[in-house]
Amino acid sequence: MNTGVTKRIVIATDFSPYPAGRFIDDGEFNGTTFRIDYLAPALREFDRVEVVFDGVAGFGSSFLEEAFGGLIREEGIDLEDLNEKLILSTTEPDLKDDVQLTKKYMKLAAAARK
Amino acid sequence: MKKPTRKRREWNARHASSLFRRELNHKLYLKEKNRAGNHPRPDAPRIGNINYSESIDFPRIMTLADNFCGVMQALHQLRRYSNRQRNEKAYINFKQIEEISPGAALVVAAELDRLNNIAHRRDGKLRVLDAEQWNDNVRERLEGMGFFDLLHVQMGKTKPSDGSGTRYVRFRSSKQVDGKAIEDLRTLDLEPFFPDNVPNRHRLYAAVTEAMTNVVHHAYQHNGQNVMPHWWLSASHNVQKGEIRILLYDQGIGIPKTLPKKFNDYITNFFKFKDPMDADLIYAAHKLDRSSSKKGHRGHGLQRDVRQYVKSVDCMSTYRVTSLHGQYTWEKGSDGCPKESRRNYRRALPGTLIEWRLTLQ
Repeated sequence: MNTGVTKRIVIATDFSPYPAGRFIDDGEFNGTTFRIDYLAPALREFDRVEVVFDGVAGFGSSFLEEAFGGLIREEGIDLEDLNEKLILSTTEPDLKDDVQLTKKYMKLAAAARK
Repeated sequence: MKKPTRKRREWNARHASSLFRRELNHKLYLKEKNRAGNHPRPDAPRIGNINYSESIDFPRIMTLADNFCGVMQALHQLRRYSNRQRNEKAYINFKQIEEISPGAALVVAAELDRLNNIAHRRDGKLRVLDAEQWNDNVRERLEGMGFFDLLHVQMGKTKPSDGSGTRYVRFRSSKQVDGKAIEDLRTLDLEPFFPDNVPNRHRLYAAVTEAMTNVVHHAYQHNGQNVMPHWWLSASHNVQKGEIRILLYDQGIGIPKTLPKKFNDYITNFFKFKDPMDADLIYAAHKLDRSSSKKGHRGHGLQRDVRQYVKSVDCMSTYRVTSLHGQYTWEKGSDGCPKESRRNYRRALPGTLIEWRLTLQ
């Protein structure tokens, strides 16, 4: 664990500018792959993780739900921990809705687990 | 043994005669069927030295809005031909077409693409015999959509000459969710013609990729023989009218059949559809937020992303889903008021066609 260090994941450059799909079979840049290969390891290793939404072509709700809601549903991380560790950021006004939607998906996944 | 009565003897005679006639008719039917399999029908065309087993004639008006049943009749004939295992040649007649819409063109292009790719037809590729006899506008539009690439024929550069300035965009196809396909379509094929660009690009991306995700997850869940589990994406634009149409088609089982059966009662009670038809079920799929996966975190894409794009833009817009016999339309007119409508057709579209239409001026 890297204490006090913030890991920055820029989806458009670190993963793909064209994220889409939910499962691995859906396509190369799907939500499951992003969660398993990028998000979950970073959350385990670092105190804080900043995910930057800027620069992508857009997000389908399947991608966001699987990548971020899946952290609670599949990886077993608590919503409180995520609220503490995970920062979602964007400077693009059009993507601000997607940030809000992602937070909503995490809350819904936590509610469903209870 | 008891001697049969006169009445019984008469009945036996009648019954025997009837049996004989039925047997004879069946033999004649089989003979006719075998002959039809080996020889062309009397009305089948002969071009050059080749006898064709049948002619598949596409109608004069090839638009889903004005002649849905006519287009479907020809399309189903083409599908029956492509699914047949017998190695026979068919003549697909495009000469009569005077008008073609992007939706109809994409549906036919997808079927020809499937015909070219299914196993038992791979050796008998499609050929163009008489494209010079096709209507000029129709030929140019089909060429723009990539028809002649399917047919492995170079026809020169597309130049719209009908004065309406409508251009058809080359279709793209894949069996996976491909975000780059919609980005390329927007940046390479649409935005060079529209100085103000396509509005709300992030929402457009979400709408199309989510529709592709639905195709991959639900449309081909009961794969049969000769199925090509792909989506086909295309578009058309008219700069003069400021009109953009984006189309996504799949040949899957259709939205009405992907709705979970346990929700039928719910649909009946909630929407007061006593006997829901396909259009009602498509409408319900947009309202219910449910998925055939029966998982709570899934099944939101149609409402939140796919339809949401036309709601999010500040211009006249239409969202139309045609699946099997049903059609559901959501549109926003010049007054900004949204309108929903449903329609059922006698003939079924094989699969689902989604259309997003914007009028930018």
